[in-house]
Amino acid sequence: MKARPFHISTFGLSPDMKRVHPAFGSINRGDVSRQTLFDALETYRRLDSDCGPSASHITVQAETGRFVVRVSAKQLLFAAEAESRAQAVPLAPEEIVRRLEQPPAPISIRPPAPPPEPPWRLATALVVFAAGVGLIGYALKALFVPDGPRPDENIAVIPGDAPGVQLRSLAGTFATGQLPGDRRLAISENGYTEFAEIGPRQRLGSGADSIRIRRRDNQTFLDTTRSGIIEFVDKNTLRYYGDTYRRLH
Amino acid sequence: MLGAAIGVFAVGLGLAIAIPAVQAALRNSRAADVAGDLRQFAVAFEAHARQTGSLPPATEAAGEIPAGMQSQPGANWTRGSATGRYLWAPDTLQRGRRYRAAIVLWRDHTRLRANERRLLEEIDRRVDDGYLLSGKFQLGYRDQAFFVIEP
Repeated sequence: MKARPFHISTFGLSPDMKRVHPAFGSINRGDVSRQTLFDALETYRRLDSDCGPSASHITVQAETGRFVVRVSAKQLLFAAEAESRAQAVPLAPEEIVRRLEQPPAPISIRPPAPPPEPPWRLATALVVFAAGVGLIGYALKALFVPDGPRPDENIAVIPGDAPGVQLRSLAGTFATGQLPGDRRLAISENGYTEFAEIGPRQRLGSGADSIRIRRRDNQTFLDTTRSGIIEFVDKNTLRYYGDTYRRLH
Repeated sequence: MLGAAIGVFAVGLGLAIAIPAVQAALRNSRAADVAGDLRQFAVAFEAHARQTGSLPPATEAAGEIPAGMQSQPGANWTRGSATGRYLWAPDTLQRGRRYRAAIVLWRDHTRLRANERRLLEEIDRRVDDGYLLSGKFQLGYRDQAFFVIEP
């Protein structure tokens, strides 16, 4: 591939580029080859300038942009034209030519991919996330309070015909007494029980409920659907919420 | 990802602190209301007994104002509370013991829920010994709470 020429112009340099003085003004040197540019930069570097780096410069138009080269203390200072003088970097002539030939760096429109997360970070995130979900679950659990545990959860149902046999033997009416405030409990053979209170409050808390006979630790219970557990003491005595019910008939 | 996880954790921590705190505040407020009601009712029934020489007769339903007490228990009696409706219960049998007079906090459902038990315990701490199986405020028949007016 054929190298493209560089277009150069000078300021403060004599036409033969051997003397420096601002009075020489701007001179357009036209397109030059790589070697010519290198020779010109080398010549420029060797010039003794008493006027300082601002007295002269070489402007180079390359494919990569427009650049300015100044000289100070036998050193070339290279900068893009848009950059300030302070941003100029000291470079040798061959480095300057190499930089001028470098194609512009491609500009990516995609952001660079983040570096992969180290394993410890991922593990920490998972642990923290799990702890957070656990805390949310714990907090929300308080809003959905379940009913208290049934006291009869571990009670086994009596298998076979035994429940029917026991229900028939239990059927009848039981009571805590005969005074106002005492309670009655009626058990039917077909598995229902009825609660009532003697006196003005007889309508309160009355109602029927179904029962099943269950056993736990060799103790027999009557398990109702809605009304909890009726303890079986013997076929003539039951206990319900601490009250003793004795058979009336 | 770690940032999102920290966010979830922060939300969880905030909820875990805030929800129990709000529930406790609500429970305390409701317990204070019921405890205040019970003290006010006790004073009213004692005053009625001093004036008439006897306590009012039993009512047939919860929330019903006892005869002769129309102006005394006030609107809170008929309105009820977070624990249920108030029931005037003279000659009441509770866990094997008969009381001359008590106020039952009547609940329509049989099974006592965990949050209801905590509320009753908080009420017990305010009016009695804090223990639901002893003292003036107890759990009785079908785990209904009752407040003893006259043992």
